[in-house]
Amino acid sequence: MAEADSFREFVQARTAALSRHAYLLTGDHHLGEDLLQSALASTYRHWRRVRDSNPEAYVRRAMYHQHVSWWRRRRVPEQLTAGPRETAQTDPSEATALRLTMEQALARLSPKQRAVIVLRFYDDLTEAQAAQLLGCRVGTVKRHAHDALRRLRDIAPDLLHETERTRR
Amino acid sequence: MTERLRQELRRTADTAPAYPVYERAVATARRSRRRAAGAWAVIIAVVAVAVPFASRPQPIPAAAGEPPSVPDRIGLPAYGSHDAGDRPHLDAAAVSFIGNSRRLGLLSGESDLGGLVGAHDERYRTIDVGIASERAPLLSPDGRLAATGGALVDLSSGRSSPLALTPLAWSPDGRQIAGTTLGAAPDAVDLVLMEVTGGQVRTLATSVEDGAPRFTVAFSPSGDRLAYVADRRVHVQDRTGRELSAFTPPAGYHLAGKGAWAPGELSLALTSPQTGTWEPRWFDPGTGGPVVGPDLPAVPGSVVVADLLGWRPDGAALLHVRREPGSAPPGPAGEPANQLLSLAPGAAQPVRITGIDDAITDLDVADQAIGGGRTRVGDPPFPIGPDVLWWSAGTLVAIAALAALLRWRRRATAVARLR
Repeated sequence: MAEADSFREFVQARTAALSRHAYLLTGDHHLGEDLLQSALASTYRHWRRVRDSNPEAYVRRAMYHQHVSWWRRRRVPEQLTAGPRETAQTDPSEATALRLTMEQALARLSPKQRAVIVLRFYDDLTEAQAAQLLGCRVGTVKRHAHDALRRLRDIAPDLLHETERTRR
Repeated sequence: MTERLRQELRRTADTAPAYPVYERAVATARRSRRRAAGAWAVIIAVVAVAVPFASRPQPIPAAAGEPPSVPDRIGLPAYGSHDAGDRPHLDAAAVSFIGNSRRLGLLSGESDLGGLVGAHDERYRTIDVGIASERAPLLSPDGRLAATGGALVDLSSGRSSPLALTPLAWSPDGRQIAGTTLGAAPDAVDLVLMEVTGGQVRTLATSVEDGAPRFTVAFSPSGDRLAYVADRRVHVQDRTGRELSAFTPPAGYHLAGKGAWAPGELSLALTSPQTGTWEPRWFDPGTGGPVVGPDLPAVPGSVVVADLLGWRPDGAALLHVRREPGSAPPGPAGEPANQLLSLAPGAAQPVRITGIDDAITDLDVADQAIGGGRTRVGDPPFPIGPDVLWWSAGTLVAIAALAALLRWRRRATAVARLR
């Protein structure tokens, strides 16, 4: 029972933060919920081993790997286009437009690129920390980050250009 | 450069509520644990079953020309034992039997399967004997052929051919089978002699009796004469079918078995089927008069089945004896009630050659296995046979395929939400 109690406490404390990660990775609430459920189930199976180390890192790692695994099973070829197929600039609210642009832009990244973007710019992890979490080399993280930013620049230039404009 | 990106990521993330997944995550984990435990249990069970097979010593091949031998212990074939038609083929059998056991008819418990034991090693095979057969498959003298009520099975090739008689005795040269077929008249049964090669059939006698007609047949050791009992009379014929003599034995007496002719062919052993001590009476096959035959020791106890199978090279008779269930045979405690006994002339006591499983009701031993006089250490098979492994493997594959299909469909449903 102690095992279940400590796991319940952990989930209650960290569900909100983990849900945000799941949503950023999937871009869909239903899928994000499934992803979090699957990762937590995996964590619960190994709870005795992980509870004394860093269970949240374990859950996040499980989510990243599970998401990439799902994407591989989907086997839908990536759609590479010269430019964004649609933008959300017709919405009168700038914040809403930007959020839609953010979601649409993330949806056009590969899962690995999306994972790197989330780790580097949402979790503020270093490249080395992101590489360790994803179980890959630092060079791989750099390449995914580079490719993701280049694509974001093409898909949603406002996300990056406005920043540059603001800095000026 | 990425500050706006960071802000938008946080803003987007903040739109996600806390997903209520705790209960489902725990349920999923527990289901997964149960599946893993089940899979391990199956693996352990398969290994537990497979290890005894892997650890069983391989049979030692018999030297060329070595005569068949009789095992000192005869058990039942395993569940899922190989059939007489399966590879590797048995080549020849020393013993055949039927019995009342689920190992000889998994579903009904009736004897629709018989058993065969290898001529030189402890390989067991099953053989189809038909529903409710009362007689063990009849073995040819060299053990290479087995005749049942409907088929003649070549144990060296596994091929079987139809056999239109119920076999009773095989001639010593292996060329003829004596058996019964339905006669032309209602309730008539013909005793016939069939050529194994060619299938020509010659009718020896026709019997019409109230109830089940009963023939007993015995070839003389030389094969020159054939004795049979029909209509309560003993008839003796030569090879051509000419009747040499016929006489009426004491009431209820019949030939003692396929080995009823004593060595030297000077006397015939007849016994009464009544339960009790087995003690044959000897008659002159030419005149039917009582004669002094081999001085075999009596077999005391509640004998319900006794079959004189033949004669060993030391002059001893080989007798299959089955006593009433639960009745302890004379001798040391733990003696099996179902036995092959060696009855040496002049000996005070029979000597047990083979202990037989109680479930075995009828048994035949190939003439060459009797005449060779050799006994080997019997090693009845482990109860689970090789075919069960194949059945288990097939079941496991089917279950795994079904589980994989269900899992794939569940994931496909989840992935479809991505689109």
